[in-house]
Amino acid sequence: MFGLGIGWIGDLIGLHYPFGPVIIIFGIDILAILIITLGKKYITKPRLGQVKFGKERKKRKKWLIVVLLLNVIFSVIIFILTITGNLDQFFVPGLFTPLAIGLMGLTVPLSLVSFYLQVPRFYLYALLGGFGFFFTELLYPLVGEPWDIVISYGGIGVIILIIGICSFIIFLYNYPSEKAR
Amino acid sequence: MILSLLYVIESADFKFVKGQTNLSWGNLSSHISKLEEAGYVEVEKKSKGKKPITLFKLTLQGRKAFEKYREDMKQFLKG
Repeated sequence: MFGLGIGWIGDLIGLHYPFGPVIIIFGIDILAILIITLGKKYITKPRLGQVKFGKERKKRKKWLIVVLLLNVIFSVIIFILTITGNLDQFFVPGLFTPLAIGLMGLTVPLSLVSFYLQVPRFYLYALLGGFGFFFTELLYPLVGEPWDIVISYGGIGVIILIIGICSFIIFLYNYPSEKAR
Repeated sequence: MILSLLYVIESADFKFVKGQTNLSWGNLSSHISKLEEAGYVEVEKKSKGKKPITLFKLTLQGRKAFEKYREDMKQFLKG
């Protein structure tokens, strides 16, 4: 979501719309995956120990992969419709389109992620993310491009980042390293 | 407490079980030994690189014993 907020930088560095923002968003996503992987290896595992989850959790993860794959297909369709300029044919023009895309593309899949992984704070992320496009459209007449998406998704990204940093600090406090103990 | 933790997962190492149960190393080791003797817990010693890892897993017998205990407790609480 933070990537969505700063995706316009892609245009600034000479990458043509919509590929510039897409490259920035994927870049941020890859960076996030890298941080999560390294964090698990060097921060979480040494503090929490090693655990393999049971069948129920594995089954939930399989369902999650199916849901996320469907979401990827949905996102690709929306992306193709956007770059070909055919998006408005499938949705009601105006504020309904960004709301529908946000709810179907972000709120529903992120809520399912929250349900399957049993992480309640993801419901909040799902709601914030889902309303992001709607906020962007509301802000557009007031602040114009790119500040509409910078404020909406940049703001949402910062809120999620702050929640994440707070959770991380609480985790470090609850599970100190071997040396600190 | 150890059995209820191992019941919901496939396996876990010493550090994870210690952290979740808040038992001391000695206390946990002694409990695990007793559970292993009873045939409820399987202890597997592995090494990852130079580090030794001790993994705990609930046996089928342990799983059945925990389910029976849970049912007994439910009946008891129902009155």
